[in-house]
Formats: sequence, structure tokens, C-alpha cells
Amino acid sequence: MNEERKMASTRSMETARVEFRMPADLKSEVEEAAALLGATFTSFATEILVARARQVKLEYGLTVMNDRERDAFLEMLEKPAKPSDSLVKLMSTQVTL
Amino acid sequence: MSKVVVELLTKAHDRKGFDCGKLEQNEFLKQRARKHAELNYSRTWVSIEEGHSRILGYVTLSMGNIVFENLTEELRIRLPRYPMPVLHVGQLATDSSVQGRGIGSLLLRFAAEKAIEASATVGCFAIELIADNPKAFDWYLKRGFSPLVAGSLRLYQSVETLKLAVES
Repeated sequence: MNEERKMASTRSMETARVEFRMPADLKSEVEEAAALLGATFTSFATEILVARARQVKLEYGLTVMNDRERDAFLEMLEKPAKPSDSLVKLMSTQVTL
Repeated sequence: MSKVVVELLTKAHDRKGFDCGKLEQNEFLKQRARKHAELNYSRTWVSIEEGHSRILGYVTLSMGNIVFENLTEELRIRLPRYPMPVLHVGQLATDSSVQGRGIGSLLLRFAAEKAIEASATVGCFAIELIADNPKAFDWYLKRGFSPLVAGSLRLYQSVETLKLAVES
């Protein structure tokens, strides 16, 4: 059992009730998968929800670039382009109504 | 004639009447912007007529990090920092009643200035804009920001180029 799962399963001194509705066929599908692992619906759902929530928090604000994007990004930083006229104009924008 | 200024969103600003024509962006301002600020996920800045409270437009800023799928040791050494921090513009919207009056450009200018400021104070290499539709993409493109690869709806500009634009 990895560290995250251990934490999720051992910090359950105090519990809270979670209740939501889902399509019946999807519920059956989840129950089948939980049964395959010998897990209860609750423990299976808890584990998946917590893992996904942690992943979302970890990835929030993270942009993953493939090789082409990476090379273009580094090129942009290492050889900064001369600003276009439109960018120069943008940087002096003032508005009165 | 009154000047339009940009301020940090507070409870005092009138969010209720804001309508940019897009449900999701209206709801973000009304329901999530202040919560995100409380949680330190992002900060939302609003444009208003000086001395007024009605929100004419808003921009949501946060620090983002760029990571690469593949990073060789050789490349790693070349990088000043990794992951690479960028100023991320999550949302930018203008009330329908004042569209075409430069409010969006003012907010984008503000975001770009924050990127320059961040580069001087905490480290920031570029500004990152997310266009959620082709119209928004063209709007950013016309203002001097570019995608890294064709077909991407993420646009960038380096802080160095932004600085040159300010100095021009």
C-alpha cells in the first residue's frame, strides 16, 4: 500500500456522510469493479475520489509541454522577439468612458 | 468622461449585473472568483470607472508552472529554473454593454504588466493566455501573443518582449 492510500485509510477517525445520486447502470458498473478488487463500494469510491482530488490539486496551474512546444517556448525565451506594433499599442492602452 | 481603472476584486464591487454573454464566465465572477482568491488559487482584478463599483470587465491571474514531457540533463542545465514559472491568465471577460471600448485590452495590458512585475520580484518568464474559443484566440493573436505550435489555443509572450513593448 503506498503512502497516500495509507493516509487516506488511516485518518478516518471521524467520518462524514456523503450522499449523491448517479445513473443506476453506472453504479452497477462501479460495484462490479469494486467487487473485482474485493473492495466495498464505499472504500473503492473513497479511494478513487481522494486520489483524483489530490491529482487535480497537484496539477492545478501546471502546463505540460510536448517536445515541439518545449523547443518553441525555450526559443521564445532565449531569443525574445521584437514586439509587434499591436503589442506596443496594447501596452499603452488607456480607456475613458 | 471618467477613467477606467483596474482594482483587485472585493466585496464592495457590484458583481450581480455583470454579463459578458457567456454563462460560465459570468458564474466564475459571481460564484468562484472570491473563493479562489481566499484559497490562494488565483486573484481576480476588475475594471471599473474610477469611483464606481459596477464591474465592466475582469481578469483572473495566477502563477503557473511549465513542465516538459521530456527533459534531458543537457537541457536541464541550460534552464535558469525548473519548473518554469509563468503568469497565467485564466479568465478575461468584458460586460456586453462596453465591448469594443478597450476594456479587454486594458485588462490584458494590466496582466502583462503584472508579468513584468513578477519577473522582477519573484521570477516569471512569460505570460500564458488560454483562449477557450477561436474568437478569443484571434483576439489575443491580434494583440501580439502567439501559440507555440499551430492548432494550440494557448498563447504566450516572453517577459523580455513585453518589456521591450513598454519601452518602445
